[in-house]
Amino acid sequence: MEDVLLKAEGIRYSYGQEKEALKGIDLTVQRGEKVAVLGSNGAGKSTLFLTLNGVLTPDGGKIAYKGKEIGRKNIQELRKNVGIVFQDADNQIIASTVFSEVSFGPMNLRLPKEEVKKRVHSALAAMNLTGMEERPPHYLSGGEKKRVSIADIIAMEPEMILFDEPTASLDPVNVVMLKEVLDELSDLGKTLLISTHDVDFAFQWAERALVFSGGRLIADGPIREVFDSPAVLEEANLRKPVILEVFESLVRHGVLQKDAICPRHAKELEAMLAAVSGK
Amino acid sequence: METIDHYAYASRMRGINPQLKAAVAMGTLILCIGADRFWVSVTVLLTMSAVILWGGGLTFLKYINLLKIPLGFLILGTVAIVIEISSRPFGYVLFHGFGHYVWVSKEGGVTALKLVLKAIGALSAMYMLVLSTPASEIIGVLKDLRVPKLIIELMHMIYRFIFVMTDTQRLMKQAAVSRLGYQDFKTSCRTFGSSAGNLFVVSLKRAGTYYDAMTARCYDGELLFLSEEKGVRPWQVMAALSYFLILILIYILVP
Repeated sequence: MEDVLLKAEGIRYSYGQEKEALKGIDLTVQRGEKVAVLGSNGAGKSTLFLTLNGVLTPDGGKIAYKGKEIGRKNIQELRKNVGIVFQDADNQIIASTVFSEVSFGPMNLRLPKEEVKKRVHSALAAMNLTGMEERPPHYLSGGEKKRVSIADIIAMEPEMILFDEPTASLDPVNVVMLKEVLDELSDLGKTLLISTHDVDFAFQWAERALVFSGGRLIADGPIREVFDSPAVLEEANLRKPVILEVFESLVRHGVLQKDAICPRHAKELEAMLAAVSGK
Repeated sequence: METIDHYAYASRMRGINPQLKAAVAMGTLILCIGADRFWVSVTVLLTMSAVILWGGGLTFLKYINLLKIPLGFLILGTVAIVIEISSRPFGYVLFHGFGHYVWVSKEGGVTALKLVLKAIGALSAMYMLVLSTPASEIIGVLKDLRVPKLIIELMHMIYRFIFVMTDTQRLMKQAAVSRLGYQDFKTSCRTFGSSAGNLFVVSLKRAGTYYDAMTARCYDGELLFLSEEKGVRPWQVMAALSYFLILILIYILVP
């Protein structure tokens, strides 16, 4: 069953007269997918996110949301349904209390006040921020700010959420928290795209990977296959996830079967090895 | 960093409806200045300070520290009123020379004392508001008073940006200090100049990313926030009204 949510064809974008940041991107995203967007700095990931949400209008190409092509008139439709969590929460938070900050998006959707209140409270509860409604953002810690910036988007109830390098400024505890949030959002049926440099995180979480290099999409497929292609990894300056390298070593030395499926994290590997040694 | 903003968030009176607090502060301010009576000023100063200290839970030391700065200005200002110069001695002569006398009259002293008390009384009423009400709520009150939207939105953004900018400035300064950028006066001047210039560029860039982030959340030219309403209790209104009544009674009964 295919349920195409977003379809982009030949997206091009350039900042000013200079070189193109996006050189013709074709991309189809299905409902409920978990996609990791990989690539080095300046490869075009952030620019792509801004075009997919409608903040930047592409110089060329088409974007269609649920089969409807997005033009000047229905661009709000795209912004409403595709949310971005920005990399630096300080660049996103504008209001002077947590409550009014999270209310900003829903208020812009022109929802009735009662509905806004309900959404803000449930978004804050989902992000473990209940009780902080009246706190000003500048007295929050980094992890709390990140959670506020995610609650911002959840309160708008978009169908698709783009996270721009969410793990970049988080400590390990907050990364664990983020993973739980992502799982919850997936369970709610949200479509998630995450740009990251953390290949281990991407490998653990994502089903599909997009690899960018120099404004082009150089690989698009199941994450395992993407990491199996040395040419792609080299061009995008990516390294293999540690768990995949360990797995390959184990296969090479005959501990595991060649046709075994690579585990996603240490616990799965442990279970696999336990099963092998148990025999 | 401890700022008035910080105290406002920590205040025990934060839960009280901001409109009520603003009304009490403004009413007291007008009564204090309008009445222009010694005992009204003293009552206002004492009651408002008591509200700040016991109601809001601010420590005495912090409160005195906050009063120090305006008090300094006040004293400098009143010196001009109190001190007089003439060629013949009157009142209490402070010193004389070159055929002139610098002196203080009793009436001048009384006027000055009344003036200082009136100003400090009015100030304490304003402090009662700002030390218990965060800026965002005060902006909310102004919005209810139909202050133009543009000004309200600017106030919101400026308030938020003050903290973003001071934070950026702090980080830049730390980085400069670690590279000996502030080792003597000359380098300090140079470093400060270039970091101020840099701050401007950073601000412009930030403004760009802010705008993107706002557009991404369907911003279309009007800043909309929802803030939670804080209810007014009948006893609070009664307390405010009887306070005004007492001030008016003092004005009428005490000469």
